[in-house]
Amino acid sequence: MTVTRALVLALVAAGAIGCGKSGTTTSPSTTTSGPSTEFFNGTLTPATSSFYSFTVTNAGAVSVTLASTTTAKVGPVTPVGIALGLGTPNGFGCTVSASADVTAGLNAQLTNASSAAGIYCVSVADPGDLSTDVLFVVRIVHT
Amino acid sequence: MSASRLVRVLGSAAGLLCLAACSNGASASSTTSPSSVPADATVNESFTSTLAVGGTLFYSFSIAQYGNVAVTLTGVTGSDLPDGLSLNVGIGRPAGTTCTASITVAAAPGDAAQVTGSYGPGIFCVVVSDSGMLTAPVKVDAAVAHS
Repeated sequence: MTVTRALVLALVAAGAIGCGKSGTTTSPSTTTSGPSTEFFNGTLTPATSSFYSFTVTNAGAVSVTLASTTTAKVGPVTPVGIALGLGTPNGFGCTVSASADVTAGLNAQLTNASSAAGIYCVSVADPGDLSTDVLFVVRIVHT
Repeated sequence: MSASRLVRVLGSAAGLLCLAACSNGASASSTTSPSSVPADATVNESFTSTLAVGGTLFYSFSIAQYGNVAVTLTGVTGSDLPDGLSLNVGIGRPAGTTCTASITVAAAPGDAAQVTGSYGPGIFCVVVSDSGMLTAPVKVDAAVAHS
């Protein structure tokens, strides 16, 4: 009798363990990748503007840096003011929600700490000061 | 009933119980695909621009919810239009300095939508480009209906 009871308990325990294993769930692993960096470069002609679209995959920070402005592909940085904007593509352009007249630098001139996932754009425009074509490079870091 | 027979019977019972419990668990964790019916297009936008020889233009629009999208190349005008002119018309998403199309068709201007599909929500774009037939810039009129 004692042996039988022990066997029954062992079987029930084994069954429970077996079922427990097959029913065990594990939390889905989330892969967090680092921020992405994109470069928007081109030539800005006086009295014109241009924009670049990018996709924020996961909600997070976006930073935009006008990194370089030159008048030739090889040459010193030309310290000219550029209207830098961050917004969303709309129609034929980029509807800007944040903007600043900036000169090229190492630190981000525009940031948004909590951008939702979606498509955004960066625009560069002549604020009215350009007298010649300017080659520019904008660095965009986003999640 | 002997002890060994009792063990076999109980073992089978336990196995069946486990199988049933596990099967129930599997059934409970099954998933079904959500049914999504595209919403009707209720927003109409039209745009006009000049398309250069070999050029591309695109127009971005925002879709509020998953729904039907219809793009109509309504008109192409210019001074030197080739016979049977068609342009490449597509729907896609803004990326970089252009619109990356997920669908493109060769379309002649007309009243009926040439490109349709279900998209959204989010920002999308219509892209129109020269199919290689243009010999001079043309004025392009187009419309997009979306939700």
